[in-house]
Amino acid sequence: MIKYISLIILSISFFGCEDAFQQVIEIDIPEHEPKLVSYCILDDIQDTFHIDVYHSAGILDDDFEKIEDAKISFSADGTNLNAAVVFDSTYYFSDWGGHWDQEKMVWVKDTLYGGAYVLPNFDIAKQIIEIEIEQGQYPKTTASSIVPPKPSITKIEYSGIVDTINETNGSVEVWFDGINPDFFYMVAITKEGLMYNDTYGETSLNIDSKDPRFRVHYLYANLGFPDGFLLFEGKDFEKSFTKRFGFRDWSDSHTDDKYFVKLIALSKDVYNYLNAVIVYNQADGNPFAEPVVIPTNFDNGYGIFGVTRTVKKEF
Amino acid sequence: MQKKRTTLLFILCMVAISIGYAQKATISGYIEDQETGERLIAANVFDTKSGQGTVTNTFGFYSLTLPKDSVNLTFSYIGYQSKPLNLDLKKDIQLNIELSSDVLLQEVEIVADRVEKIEEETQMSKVDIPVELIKKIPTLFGEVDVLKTLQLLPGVQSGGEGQTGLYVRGGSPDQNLILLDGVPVYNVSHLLGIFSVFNADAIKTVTLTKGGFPARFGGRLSSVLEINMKDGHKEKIKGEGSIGIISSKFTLQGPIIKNKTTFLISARRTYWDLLARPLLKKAAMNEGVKVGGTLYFYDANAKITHKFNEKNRLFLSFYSGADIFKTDIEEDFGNNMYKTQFGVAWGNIVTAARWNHQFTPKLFLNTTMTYSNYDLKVHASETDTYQKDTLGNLATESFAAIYKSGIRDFSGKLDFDYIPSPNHYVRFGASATRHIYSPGALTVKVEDESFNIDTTLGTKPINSMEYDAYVEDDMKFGALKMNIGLHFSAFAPKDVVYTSLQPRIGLRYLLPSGYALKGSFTTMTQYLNLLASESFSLPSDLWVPSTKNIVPQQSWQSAIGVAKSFKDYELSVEGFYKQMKNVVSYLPGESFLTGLEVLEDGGEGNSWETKITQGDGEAYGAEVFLQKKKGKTTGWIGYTLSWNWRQFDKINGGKKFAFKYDRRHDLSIVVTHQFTKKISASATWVYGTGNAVSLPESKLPRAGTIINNNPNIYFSGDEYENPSEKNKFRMSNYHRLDLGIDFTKKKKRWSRTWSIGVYNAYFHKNPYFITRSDVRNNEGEVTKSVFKEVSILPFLPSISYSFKF
Repeated sequence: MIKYISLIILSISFFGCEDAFQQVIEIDIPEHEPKLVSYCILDDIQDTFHIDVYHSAGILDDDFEKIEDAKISFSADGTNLNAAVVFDSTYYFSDWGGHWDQEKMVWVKDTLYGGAYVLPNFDIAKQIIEIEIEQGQYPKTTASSIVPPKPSITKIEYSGIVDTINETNGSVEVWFDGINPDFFYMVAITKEGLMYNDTYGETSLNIDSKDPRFRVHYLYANLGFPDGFLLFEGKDFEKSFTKRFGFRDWSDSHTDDKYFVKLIALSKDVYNYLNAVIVYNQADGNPFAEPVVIPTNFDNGYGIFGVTRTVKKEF
Repeated sequence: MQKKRTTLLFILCMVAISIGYAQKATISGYIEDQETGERLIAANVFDTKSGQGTVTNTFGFYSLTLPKDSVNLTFSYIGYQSKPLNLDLKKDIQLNIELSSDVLLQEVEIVADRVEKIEEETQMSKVDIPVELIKKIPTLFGEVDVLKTLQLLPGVQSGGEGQTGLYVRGGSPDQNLILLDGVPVYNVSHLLGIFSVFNADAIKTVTLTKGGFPARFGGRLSSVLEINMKDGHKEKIKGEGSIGIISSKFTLQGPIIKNKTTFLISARRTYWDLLARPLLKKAAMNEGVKVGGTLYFYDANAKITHKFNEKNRLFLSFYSGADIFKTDIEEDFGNNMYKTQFGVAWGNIVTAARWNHQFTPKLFLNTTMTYSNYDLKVHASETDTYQKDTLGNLATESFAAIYKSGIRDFSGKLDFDYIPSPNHYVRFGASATRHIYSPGALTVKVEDESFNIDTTLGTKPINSMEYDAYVEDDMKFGALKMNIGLHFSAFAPKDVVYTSLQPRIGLRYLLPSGYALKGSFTTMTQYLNLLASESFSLPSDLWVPSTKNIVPQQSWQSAIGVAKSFKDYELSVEGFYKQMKNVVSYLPGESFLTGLEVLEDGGEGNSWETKITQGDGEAYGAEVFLQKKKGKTTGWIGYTLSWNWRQFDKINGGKKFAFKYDRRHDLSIVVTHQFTKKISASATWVYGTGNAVSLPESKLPRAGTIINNNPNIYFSGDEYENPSEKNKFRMSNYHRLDLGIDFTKKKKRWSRTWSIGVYNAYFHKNPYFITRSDVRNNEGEVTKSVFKEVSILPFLPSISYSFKF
């Protein structure tokens, strides 16, 4: 009997080879038609707009590269605006050498490249801004976004302490105005200071709330760049929101730190996109998670185009 | 005036019925195995003179009301010698019958438990599998497995290679009501679903109902699996056991008080951990670390049956089983000692106390009190002890996390059987169940010299009550038989009460040719949900209740079919259509690990509700089942052609998609043959369309910081994969041949059997999952990417030794 048992164990060992369990299969995955991919969210307090353009690839294809010779153009309510310039494979709409008109929200010229790049005027709420990207090898792709009305932060009340180990614990209550039920919002608490450039610092910001609308909380431990943000729908907003947060900072640059509340108005497409990105990142590497599809608002392409409007207030 | 006439008519009818019954008398009692005392379920009682008959219920009780006259009764049960009895019926009598098994027949043949022919039954979509046949079927690692045998039936699919999950007519595993001696069992698998928790040595009967549910069943959408444990031998101490590659088991049964009180105990344990321990120790010594750990599962069944008198019996049943996996690693680096522990444990405890009482010859009551508990605990910890200063003082930093989930039930139930005449069998009853759900909580403890965290994340236990009541009548009108019933249920979680009325209809019409036409329509409501990953079958799957936000699952199913028995064969062909509402699924990106929340003081988290969505399901198809139940060769051929769909507004862009276990064709062939008294052999061959899977179709570059450089939102990694439409692709088709042979030898006082088997005899690489990998040339350069199917169970021989005394 021992002979038979040994034989069985040997058999099992033999078939324990990894290759014996695997087989290459032919799954008829439809050939992927590469399309242009761009992520472009224009914000009204940005000092530089840059847009990267890529192409998509089949899942078994080689990696993709940036596309350097695409033509990108904007139009506002059907009126064409100027196209971008290319520098180092990135398409810039910049105030380099020119100036930014805060009232009109327009770049008027760019002396470095000898042209004027007129950007969309975001003053007109609910204006439709369109983007068009062309490159000969790929289908032309277009997307549009509505300009959200600009909200405002009317009041911030903050209370908090810094303990002996440089950990800040506090709460902030913020009152907003101009929240539109048809739009979507991101609220963020950010910190800027000397530590901003301290790549050896270790920071985290943790936000949570009893308010079910703000249940989601994120913990970041990025080097020197703490952010916490929440997304909500305008229709759900009532009056104000309160956040507790703890901030742990092992750097020595505590006294120069500044805290800000940012409120960013978003279109529905951008809101859905950001939510999907958050879920995708959370699920990344989790073998139990269901697959996540990142939505796009580009026709015949991938990526996201949107216009956001931001207000920022220190507390 | 009209009202008075109606009242008079009613009184006249009642008087006529009373006079009619006054001319009749009732024979009632129990039918038992003469040797063991085991009550025989669905044994037949037939009066050849009047042509009337009945069958015994789950407790072996029967009641037959006949005209006061001489009667020619026959008591029969397949595999047993029939017992004729002629008597002059003048008044109600209690008649307990003992049938002796046909010894010669049993030694060489496997026979079915049931005597009633398939065309005589009203019930459709129901299958009884003899436990002796289950024991003969070749299995993985030689472990006899009830659930894996059920997967070979038409309309029942397995979740994946080697898994015990049951997917019945398009349903999911949480939609199966699995009852062990009448008590629901929540987690029915060991070792990540490879083995089921049911020890065949302790089991008397196995019955699966896939549709046409009688009103006495409720609470699940897709199936009812009734498993009844043996009661215990009434006269002698009997034992049986086996020693296999991965486990051993032993069962002992016998009388405590002869002919009055019996017991049965049965236990099983795996011993991979015992075999691996010396190897682990040796490996650890080579690496300079201490490694400890264990991996095993165990089951224990126990039952005590006591007969107070002819009218009162008590049954106490107990089951406990658990899986334990633990690793313990200690690394010593001189000034630094590092200790890591990880463990997973999950298991069930099921207890039931049942009391049978016979009020009258026509009225039988079973009272059941049950307790069922399922717990999962995952534990991980790290401890770092180091020298913190030059004086040699030590400091310790530690991290520990414990994840727990589970469900506990306390239940009370009354089930009445009322048999007023051979043409009516009325069942009615009611039950109340208290569910306590613990849908996932994570406790985190972090300690070092400067700070201390002790936090619980997740959801607090949820209490709810479930109430059920039912009435059904099995009626007979010549060639037409009907089972008509109504099931009522109510569920009261926090802040909401759900109620549901569920009509049930089953019909059978016997054609002159002997073929039976059958039809059924049932509606079901389910207040429990199992949050399970489609990717893997895990003990981490969470049981959660319907709530104010998560509404109950509902279904309706209709089926039509034809059935006929030919000599030793039974044939049934059925078509079914099932619609399910409010089935649950995780949202994209979600799993049991994501989104745990901090519990505020006095607050009640509900994170799991935000991770799931509800939608619809649809399944339809046809099943053919040809079974040979008698003779030296037994077995069946089962074929299913089916379609199975799901639709969720928040998944797959709202588009309908194939359920992962949508299997267009599913074929099983099971054959056992008794060559001699000493040698029997068996073979099974299964074939199924490959599982539906989602695969990434394209990839996109990641976005950098996209808004204003702040907030800092970006994709992790260089690219993200764009998945296909949900379950758009198929794995390769599945097929497998298993073979087994038994050598039995009878000794003077005992018998022994050597069982040798082969799982996946021709080593077909059946896919378990698909992975993407790179193909490299001789220089190690990547030449292309391909998809690979990975199988986990190759050709696996097994051997076991079993004995019986």
